[in-house]
Amino acid sequence: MTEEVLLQGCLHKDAAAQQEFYNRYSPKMLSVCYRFAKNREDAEDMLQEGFIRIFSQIHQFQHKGALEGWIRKIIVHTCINLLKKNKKFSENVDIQYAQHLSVREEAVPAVIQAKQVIECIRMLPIGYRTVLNLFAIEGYNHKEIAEMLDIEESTSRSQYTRAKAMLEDILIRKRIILAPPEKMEKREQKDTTLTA
Amino acid sequence: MEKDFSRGHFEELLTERTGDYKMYPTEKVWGNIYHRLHTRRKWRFIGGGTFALMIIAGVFVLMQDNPHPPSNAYAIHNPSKSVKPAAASAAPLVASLNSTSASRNGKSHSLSLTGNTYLTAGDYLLQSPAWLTHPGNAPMLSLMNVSPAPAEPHSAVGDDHTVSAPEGQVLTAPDKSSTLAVGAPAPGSQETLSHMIGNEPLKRDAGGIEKSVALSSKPLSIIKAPTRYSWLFHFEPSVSFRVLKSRTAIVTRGVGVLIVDNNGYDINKLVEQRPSVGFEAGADAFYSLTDRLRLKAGLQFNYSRYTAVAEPTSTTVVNQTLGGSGGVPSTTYQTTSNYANKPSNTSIPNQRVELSAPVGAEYALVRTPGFSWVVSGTVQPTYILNSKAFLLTSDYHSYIQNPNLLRQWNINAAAETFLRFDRGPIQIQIGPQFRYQMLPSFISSYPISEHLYDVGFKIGIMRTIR
Repeated sequence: MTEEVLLQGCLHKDAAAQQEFYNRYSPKMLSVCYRFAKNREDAEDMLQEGFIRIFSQIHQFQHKGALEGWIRKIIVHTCINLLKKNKKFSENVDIQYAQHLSVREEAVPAVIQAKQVIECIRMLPIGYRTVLNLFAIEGYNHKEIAEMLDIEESTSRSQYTRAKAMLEDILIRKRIILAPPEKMEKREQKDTTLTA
Repeated sequence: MEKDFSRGHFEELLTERTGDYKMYPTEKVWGNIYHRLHTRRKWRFIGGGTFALMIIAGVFVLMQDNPHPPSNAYAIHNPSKSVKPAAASAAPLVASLNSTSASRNGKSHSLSLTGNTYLTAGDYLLQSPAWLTHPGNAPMLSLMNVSPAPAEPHSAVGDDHTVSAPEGQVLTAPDKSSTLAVGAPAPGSQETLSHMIGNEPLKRDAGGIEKSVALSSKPLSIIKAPTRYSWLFHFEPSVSFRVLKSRTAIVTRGVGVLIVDNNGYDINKLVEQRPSVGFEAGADAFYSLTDRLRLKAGLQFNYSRYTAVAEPTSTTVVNQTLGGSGGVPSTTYQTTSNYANKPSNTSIPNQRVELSAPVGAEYALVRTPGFSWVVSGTVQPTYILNSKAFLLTSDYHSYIQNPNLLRQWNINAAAETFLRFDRGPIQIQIGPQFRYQMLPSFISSYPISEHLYDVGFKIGIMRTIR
């Protein structure tokens, strides 16, 4: 079915069209939800609520952009709303403390690099993870993020800075990325000091 | 591993690495979405239907305690006693039975009366113990008119007895006296005089007397007559099974030849399925045509379940073909499946909730005063309120879900036999029931026909409306 036929079917609440629509977009959207959620079950809950909202609001799609972008926006907002509803933002971890977090090797199955990166993102505290997802991947600016999360814009910026640093640290420890030269020097100096 | 890392490209790296990543949700997610979008209306209907059923049942139960007063009123006087209290041995005047409170008192047991007694035709009847044991002692009943009080009220005297009139009314002697046009029952007869009177008003004489006072020469017992209507509440735990058959020709390969079976194929051999427990609950109304034959109609809910053995798999794209028989061209569409039709320790549940309106009849093969053996049959137009069904794909290899293929309306037929025990106004019945779905569960374009059948044990409480 073409996208237009699918849309028309969904507008008429045709279950077959809705299922086809869901089958087409749910795999990517579940990966979006998985980056926000604590576990797979929560991610599926977010996906479920998101698609219910999509089918309820399908008549509001105005063909002003890509359909996938519109769907993704609704899914992201649903994820944020569920996180706020369940009060998941109580975790705020200081960057100093985060450096001492041990990377759990067994938590990140070595399948493909994309999944590794996602799992590293999910290792971040919920507040950092959410801001990083919204800014770095979903493309929202800090003003929009502040409105969505009911925080100050400056808080969003500082959270992102910390999240980015923490994620970088995790990715380097996991050897998914190489550390920049200046950071390698600092690590070598630190290791030398400890050895002495 | 990224060898050429640059801070400026950090966001690009994340977007690039995560943008096209896909994860496949479980079947449960779509099921929940579908139910939220399409079945809320049905559950409102269930709730509304249940509420309406309870209201109707409540009205019927309450109506038994508050019968409408009939248009004809008959009074019974015991001529052996004088109304005016002349001696200490005179029997006190019994309260009129045409009031609601009195009628309620006389509803369920015999009440001996002396003095003036007013009866309501159709609700009350006369049964004298003397009539049953000594048919020759049938009383002579004289009828007198009951009419509104004239300007100069006066009381009427019938025969040699004093009679008092109902409040606001007077008694006048009819132009000609008449006797009660019924006789005592024949010895050994199952029909009692009470039954005859209870179902028919006292016969009017040729003068067309609308209201009369009947005078009895014997003390009379009065019991309330049953009507032809009864009400039954029933509950039945049941076990559900299904029968599968292919609509399209199945081609199998024999020894060097192709064998085409155009008459369908027993797909039950290709699947492993297990029955599961469900239930039926509802209410029926009965109308007695004769002592043994009753018509019935009602409403009931059925909850049916069965399971199919399947092996969970990762989400797989499968082909499903519709049509291809009966002149309908075949079409194929793709969908996803998470269960394979293979032996496994996992069973996938199939269930449905139905609302039916059974219509039929029952016949008592054996009937004694306290016990009956009855057979019954009904045809039940059925509406599927909610269903969760896993369908076999046309190649019989996988299970999929597609609620659009489900038939919303169906017809069931039920046959049952039971024992009914009489406990006064209440009757209890127990016995087995077999219920079969006449039309396939899915629309005709789906290549596999499924018929469900339930076997259960029905327990019912019946009450005759008096």
